[in-house]
Amino acid sequence: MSEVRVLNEAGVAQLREFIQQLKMNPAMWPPPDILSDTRYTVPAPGGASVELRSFSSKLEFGRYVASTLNGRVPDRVLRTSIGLWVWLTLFYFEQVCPADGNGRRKVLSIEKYIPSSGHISTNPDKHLLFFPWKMITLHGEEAAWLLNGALREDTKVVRELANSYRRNVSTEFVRLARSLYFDGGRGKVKTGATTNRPGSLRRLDRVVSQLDLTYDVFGINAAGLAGLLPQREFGRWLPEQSEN
Amino acid sequence: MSKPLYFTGRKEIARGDVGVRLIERSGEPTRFSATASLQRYGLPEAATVVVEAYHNAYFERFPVGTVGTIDLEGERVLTGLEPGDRPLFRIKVIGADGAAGQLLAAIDEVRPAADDDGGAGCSLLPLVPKSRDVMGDEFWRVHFAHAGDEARPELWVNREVQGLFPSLQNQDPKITALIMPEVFRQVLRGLVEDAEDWTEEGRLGQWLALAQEFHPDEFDVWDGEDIEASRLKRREWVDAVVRAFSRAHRFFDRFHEQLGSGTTEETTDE
Repeated sequence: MSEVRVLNEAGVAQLREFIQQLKMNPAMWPPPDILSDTRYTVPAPGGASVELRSFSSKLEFGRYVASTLNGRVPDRVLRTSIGLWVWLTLFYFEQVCPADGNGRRKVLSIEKYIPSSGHISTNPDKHLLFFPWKMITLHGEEAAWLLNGALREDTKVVRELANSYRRNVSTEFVRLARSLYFDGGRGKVKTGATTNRPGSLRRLDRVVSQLDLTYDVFGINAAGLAGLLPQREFGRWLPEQSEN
Repeated sequence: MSKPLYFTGRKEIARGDVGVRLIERSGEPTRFSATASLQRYGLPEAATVVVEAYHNAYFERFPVGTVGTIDLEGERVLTGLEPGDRPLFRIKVIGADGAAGQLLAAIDEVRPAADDDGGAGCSLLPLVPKSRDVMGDEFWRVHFAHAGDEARPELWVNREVQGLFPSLQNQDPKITALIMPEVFRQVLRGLVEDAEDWTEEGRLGQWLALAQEFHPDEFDVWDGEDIEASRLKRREWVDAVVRAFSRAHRFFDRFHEQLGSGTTEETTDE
């Protein structure tokens, strides 16, 4: 077990520089020394430890980190501390950005590793570790369906839900999205759900944002929200329709 | 047949009829108190009233009774928020019975007042004074508060830097010339360096309209197949806007005029 720590600005800058270099030289190794270096880190408030272990999915990670950190590390630190999530990124780097058989790492865009609170294009929901934690913390197992991918993956369904940063705090919205776009029998997101076409998850976000002007969308359950959706656009995705 | 999404007769509650105040005490969670005067809207007595607070990953609902029995007495705890957080508020009146779930009246993006508010108000770029605990050794910072579906840029200013906040309030060229081009650059980058379309609506539309006052060209359509190239093009557009903005404000000349040098020629290479 290792003590959870928070990277300071210099520590975050180190990882940012490393990731930039990694794009040019994908065989580089992360700088593990800074994980416990007191020049770059301080212990996370509240005191917590994490195990260096593997996770089969974002879901497993989300469950683990929520059960390990929630209630120990203050809510506000978990919600807003860039340094904490960057430290966890570095701690689990072999899973967040694993090397292939040739020792080369495929680097995604920087916000997947280093969130930038308050910056719209790099909001923390786009971070590979923050989002699973947030979904499990807010919605528990209701969010399990969208966290099937491996920790390293920027899955389309996560990308769409992460962009819905305002609505993804609503369990009923996540439940509605599941009812429309998740095939429970196959255990997979339905084909076409994450396109930009009518009826897609992206359109659901836009339509619900319109409904938000006229309905109390945060106070209506998933079935009620489904009943408000335009049938012409979403009919084929609605559970009643798809069973016919 | 699609259901109508708009025009359900919802009433817009006037900003003057509501008020929210944050109560911040060191070492305690942030609380709020609110007032709402709803009598003049002719709303059903049984309609439910809800206050919602939201701030980045934070969202909390506070049922406060009905129009006929509204209870806004006292202070309510904003769970997990601390001094320095600036949530926005929404007040909703929700139909009962046949109109269940339908908004009868609402107001969104209510910016709370706080003791250190500094009159941030509702300007396009509110100036928000912050303590050194929040700012550290930084003098200023562009912050994007999430409001509704939008990002609202704010300029956070370290209030413990002597004279900085009032200089910015008074638009002192000695300060604005040094800061505002970079502030404008960060604001625009934050707003458009993603798959945003050009719009005339909302806060983004206001910022884009402002940008067009200085640089008439719209940015290119976002190409989702080549994100890096799209981001680079947006960045070039932002740089062009900031150059034109700085030129239009004559920052260089006005800065030197304030210093009393009168002329700028002696500082050039020629």
